[in-house]
Parts: sequence; structure tokens; C-alpha cells
Amino acid sequence: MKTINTNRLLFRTVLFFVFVCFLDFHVFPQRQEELKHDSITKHEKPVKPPKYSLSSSGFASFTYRDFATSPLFYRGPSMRFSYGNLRIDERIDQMWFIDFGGGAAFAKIPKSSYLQSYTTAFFLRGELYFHLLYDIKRLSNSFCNVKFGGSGAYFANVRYNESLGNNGIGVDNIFNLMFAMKASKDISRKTEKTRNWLFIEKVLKPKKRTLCFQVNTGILNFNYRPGYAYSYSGELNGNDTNPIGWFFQDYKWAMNGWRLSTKLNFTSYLSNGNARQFAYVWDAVGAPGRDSGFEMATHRLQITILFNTK
Amino acid sequence: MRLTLILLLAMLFSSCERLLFQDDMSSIDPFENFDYLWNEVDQKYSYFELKNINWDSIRVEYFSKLYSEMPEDSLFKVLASMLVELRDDHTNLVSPFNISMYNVEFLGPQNFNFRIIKEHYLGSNIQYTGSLVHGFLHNNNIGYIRYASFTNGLSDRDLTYVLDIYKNTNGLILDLRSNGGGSIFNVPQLLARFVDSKQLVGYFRTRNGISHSDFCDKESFYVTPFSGMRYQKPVMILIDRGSYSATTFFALATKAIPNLILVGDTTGGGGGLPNGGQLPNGWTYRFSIGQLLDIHENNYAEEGVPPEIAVNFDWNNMAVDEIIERAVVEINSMTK
Repeated sequence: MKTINTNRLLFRTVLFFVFVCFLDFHVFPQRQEELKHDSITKHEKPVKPPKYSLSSSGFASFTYRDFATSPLFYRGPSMRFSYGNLRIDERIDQMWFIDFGGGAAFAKIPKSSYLQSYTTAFFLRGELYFHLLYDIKRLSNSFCNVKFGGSGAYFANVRYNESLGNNGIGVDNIFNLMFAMKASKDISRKTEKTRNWLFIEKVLKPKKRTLCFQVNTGILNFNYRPGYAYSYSGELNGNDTNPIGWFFQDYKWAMNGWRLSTKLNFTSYLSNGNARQFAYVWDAVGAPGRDSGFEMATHRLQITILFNTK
Repeated sequence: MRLTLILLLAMLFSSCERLLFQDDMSSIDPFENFDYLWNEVDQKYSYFELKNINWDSIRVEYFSKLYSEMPEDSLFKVLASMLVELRDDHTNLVSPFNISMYNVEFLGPQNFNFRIIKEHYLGSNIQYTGSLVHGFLHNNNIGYIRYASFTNGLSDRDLTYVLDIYKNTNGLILDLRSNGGGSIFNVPQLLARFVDSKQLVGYFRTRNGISHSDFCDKESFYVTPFSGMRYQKPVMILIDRGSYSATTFFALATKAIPNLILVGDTTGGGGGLPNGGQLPNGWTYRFSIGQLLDIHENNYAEEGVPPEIAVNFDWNNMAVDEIIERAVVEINSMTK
């Protein structure tokens, strides 16, 4: 297996810490008194953070390129659905979810002066995600709560592109262990406000709301991708062929690549303890693999309902 | 203000995939497309050595035919001609306006006319079951089964039904002439009806490196008997130059199964499993990336699998299929 490119890893790590420091010293002025006030002392009885069950759906714009089969980018829309669990308060943020979806992507083919080529790929995607973040007191203050921790993700992207013949089916398996950082800002409406829109007067009641921004960056990146020739003859053995073995014949593990994802979300809490969340998620992955690379990015608009379960 | 700064940072992190990805390689430039195709073939095609092809000199020859601003149909002709040098019908260039082919079937005479069989052999007894066309021959002593393409799915139900009809015959004729191949899944599925124990019938090896002689270890190709209805009496497999790809795989496997006998002309070949890919201008291509070997590891499948009994069609008599006639004689001689 290839080793991690240490220079790139170092660069990403430094970039990440610069970002965190920027938040610390420039965006959010420190107030030590508040920090002391906010921190939990040994004598305080810890309160269990509220727990939510998550149910999401969203639209995503999907871009990928599999160098094993095509030098072209494929782009298209997809639908995504997630189910998961979240435990969150000012000290801890623990979340897992299962995400699945699918869509169609179209090759970005240069304009022809003759007859235009069109090729289409269909894909299904499944993802498992987990993160555990803890409040960093040195970075948190009354303006913003900053949490730092780790996350892990695995996704499988199953592609079908008829125009690629025997290479038409490909599965990209990507595993990432990541640094995760989340900055949350309480933007609750503390007092009742009255707004006038044209001739309509509306009274806005106090409401708990948060705005969060999360960054995940891959530290250990693994991928399990097709081998050198991409197509193999597993089907020759017919009824003796194990379908899983046939599907992943000569797939190779590699520890290389990168992953960077961000999530900007706005959460509005309801009086019954549940909440609605609107999020924009960007996720980009690069997996050079052993023989040929894979790149993918998604831009997703997502609505999540958080059901308070405890 | 600070909130705006956060949002700006979010946007910054959320739009930098262009910086992280490699450059966009889409292009209609003839030189870039030529280089891409030539390199892909150079790094993955499996029969350079067997066919004694000098791919470097072919590059020199065809690269000299390129020029800037050349029309797309002219570029297609150059690329297609370059691929024809591989003498392989698993090699195609596919554009919206044309598909390149080698046409290996023209290397031998045509040996099949289904109208003669329907009109003079099967008559009103012809039966269509799934992708199989069949009927009795020779006073109901011989069964005839036509499988026109391995692209057509074979179901266990259909095979069981058809073989059950002919279980009391002296022999079967399985007609695979002009069967241009299709899904390799159907090859062991059909062979499984003619063996009574698990049998090694060949090997396959795949290109795995940039040197033309880089191949992975050979993989064994086994046929396991079907647990239900099987046919163990003599089976004549009719083949010709139009029998290509999966049909060549099937024909090669029969060499290891004693009751299956090849009759007709050498198959068209196509012993290399083809891949698939796309050029920077969006056209697609495929070419062979592996080699099929027989149980003695002989590497001849790409050039065609020869029959045990060689017979050609006589086009002067449009009422007789000489290849079927020879197969009938063979079955009768084996059952005496």
C-alpha cells in the first residue's frame, strides 16, 4: 500500500489549526471571566445532554470522476435521505447517521462541432457517519461554542454507466478517520419583536436558534477500489461464483487520498422540544487508490427534523 | 459582522473542490485524444505479444496523420484505423456517428442460414422456448437446439424444459453458429447441463502492469454440474467464424468435456475479456484486457477455437445444411 503523503497531511493539519486559531483570536474575542463562569466545576452534577432522533432529506448536486474509466467529470442531481441520532449540549456533541440516496450524472463532454456525445451514469450511495466532539473551553466564549473531536465515515458509491461496457459497474469504497471542529453560535431571539412587512404586522416570539459550522478533514484515508484492469473474469465460474467475490474481484486497498467536508446549519427549536434544521453540506473526496484515482464532491441542501427523545 | 465572517469562511471551505481536484481533462483536441487512447491501449491491451504487434511503430504511423483543427470524422477514421491494427473484434471505438470494427467473421466463409434449418429440418415442429429455438431431427432421434446469442438470458426453467423434451434422444445438436457472444455468465450455466462432475475447463489471466507481458496469476475456470436436469449423451456443438467471444469461451471449454464435440469451422476468437472507457472528447472505446487459455495453458482462443470435425457449408444446395448433416452422421455413428 502507498503511504500517506506526509507533506500534504502536515499542510492540512496546519491549515486546520490556523483556522481554529483564527476563530480563537480574531473572530471571537476571549473573555476569561466568562470562560470560568461557563466551565463546569467538580461539584456540579452533570446534566445529561438532550438526545434527538434525526430524520433528513435533501437534494444534492453530485460531481465525480473515475480515472479508471474516464477522464471526464460526471455531474448530476441526487436525492439523499438520512436517519440518525444526536446527543448535544454545550459540552458534548455526539452524532451518528446512516445516509442513502441515488441519482443520475451526465458526463461533462466538450461541445462537438459534429454530433454531440452524451453519456449518463446512475448511482446509489450509502454512508455511515459518526462523530464525537467535546467543548474546547479555551476557544469557547459567550459568542461561540467551539467543539473539537474526531469523526469517522464510510461510504460506498455504486455506479452504473452502460456506455462503459464491462467497466460499467464500479463501486468506490471510501473510509475516513477525520479531525472534526464545530463552531456554534446561539442566535436565539431572546425577546419578543414586532416586524412590519408591507401592511402586515407580525409578532415574533422568543425562540431558541443556533447557527453551526462544522469542518471535517481526513487524517487517515482508506479506499477499496477496482484493480489495474478494472474488469475481471469472475463470472466465468458461473454458479460457483460468490456474488460478493465477483463484485469485488481484484479490488485493492489503499491508504491515501483526502477528504474535506463542511456543514453550515441553522437549527430552530420548537416549543415541544423538537427542532427543525436547514443545512448546506459540502463534501469532497479524493482517492488516488493503487492504480487510478477517484474524485467526488457533493453540494447538498438538507432539511432535518430532530425529535427530542430524552 | 462576525457572523458574516463565519459565513464567508463557510463559503470559502465549501467551494474549493476545484482547487483540490486535478485539472479538467475534457478536450476535443485530436492530439490529446490520440495520446489518451494510445496510452490506455498500451497499458492495458492483452494481446500485443501473441499477435506480434509493435504498438510504438503504430503510434508513429497514425500520429503523423493528425493535424490541428482536423474534423471529428477524420479523427475518428485515424483512431479507428489504429485500433483495427489490433485485429480484435473486442476492440471498438464508439462515437455518436460511427462504430469501428475489425469484422473477424469475414476471415472465413459464412456457414449458417437459419431459413434452411427452419424450412427443411424443423418445419412445423419448431418450438420457441425463451431464447432457445428447438425441434426434433432425424425421426425424433436427435434434438436440435439453436442459441442465437449469449446476450439473451438463459433461465434454468427454460433449459430444464427443453432438455427434458430431448432426454430420450440419441444425441443433441447445439447450434452456436453466428452466435456473436454476450454475457459470460451464460457460458457456465449452459455447460453445467453437460457435465456430471466439477471440471476444470480452462484458465484466464488479466493484464496487471504497464509492460505488455505483465499478467496476474492465471485463474481457474471450472464448470460445476447443474443439480437438476442434465444431458450426458453426445452433443455436437456447431460453430463457425461468426461464433465469437462468449461462444469462443464456450467452445474452448468443450475441449475438456468428452461428450461435447465441435463441428463446423474455427470460431472467430475473442478470447480476451473487453474493458470499457471514455476519451476526453466523450467517445467511448473497449479492448481486450485478458487472455483465455485452455486446460493445457495453450493460448489460441483469441485466434479461434478449431473444431474436432471441420465442415463447411455448400451454398449450391439451399435445401441442405451440410454441417447439421455431418453432426447427425457423427451422433449416429457414436450410438451404434
